[in-house]
Amino acid sequence: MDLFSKNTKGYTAPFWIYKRLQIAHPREYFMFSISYGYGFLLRKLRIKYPETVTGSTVQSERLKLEFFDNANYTARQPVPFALDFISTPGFDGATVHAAPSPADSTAFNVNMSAKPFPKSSGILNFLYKYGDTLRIDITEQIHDPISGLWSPNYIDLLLQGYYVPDLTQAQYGEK
Amino acid sequence: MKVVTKQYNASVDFDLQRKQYSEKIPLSGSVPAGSGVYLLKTNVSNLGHFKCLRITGRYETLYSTAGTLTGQTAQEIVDDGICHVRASLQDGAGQRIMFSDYVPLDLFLSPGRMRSTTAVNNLIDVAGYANRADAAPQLFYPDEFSYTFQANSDILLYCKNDSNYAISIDLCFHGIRLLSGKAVSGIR
Repeated sequence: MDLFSKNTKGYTAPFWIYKRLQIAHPREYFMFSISYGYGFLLRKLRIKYPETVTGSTVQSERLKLEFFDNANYTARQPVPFALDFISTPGFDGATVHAAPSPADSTAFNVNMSAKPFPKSSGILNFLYKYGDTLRIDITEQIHDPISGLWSPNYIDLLLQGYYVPDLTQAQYGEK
Repeated sequence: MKVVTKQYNASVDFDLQRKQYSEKIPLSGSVPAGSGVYLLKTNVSNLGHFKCLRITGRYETLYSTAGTLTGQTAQEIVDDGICHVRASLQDGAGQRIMFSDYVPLDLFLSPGRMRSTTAVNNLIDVAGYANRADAAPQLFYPDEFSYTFQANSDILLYCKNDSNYAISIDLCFHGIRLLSGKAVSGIR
């Protein structure tokens, strides 16, 4: 599948997938269903999460990721790999703040610090087939038994990629 | 590109330059305080199509204390260094949605946060409640965003601001203007 060739008939378009996960388990799942008729080329992954959690006595900076093709349960790596192997760590000063009123409840009423993290990220170029579910498992978050809090407590994920039309699908009338 | 070995052809180069050249399209505006959804947009103009390659941008991080912290009666605007604005990008031609959700600006815009002269703590500490705002970052890391916007269409940016003060944001789309008659056929 060629991203920018004329074979895609101009249907190729950038699509960024964003989700804010609230951490409450040793393994958290990010999932996104790819539309029918399109493949999804994941170019880069950005993650940002708070370095410290107010009230917690532990600190986690070693999150690990596992990429899965959910349709056939195939992992894209032999073992989970550390976030900082594919991207600049996202925890640099990214503390969580309560959003002032009026807050947007769809974002858990919290905001991240705008302190920057160098937005340098390796190119992944993971291609997901149409109808598949893009899945990322996040592990190595730490639970503080004293406060009962998880560290980090929120994770922002931004998946930057492209929808690429699969012109073999009937909806395009070609093969 | 073989810079040293390639032989350039002036007529070909000039012909190409007349039809395609680097261009940057800005998108600026102020998102009102506490806005649920607020639309900012810019126009590609009917000059030709616009092949966007990268995105950069910056934004303010302000909120109003309204005297709640120190008992002041006057409204004080403080730079709190928190990203209050989320945005979703859309191609006005065909209404193609490009973000799955409203993305916080601090996740993808570079250079990112900018200081505002509106803030009382822009350059100095304000005794009692606000330290001097952190230095705004100077990182410049344009994000890849390869897409062709049609001539005479709009680039739409839907924003949400959960601060209690208006926030100014600026985006810049870096790309190439496609001027050839074929590229804009049917448009003008």
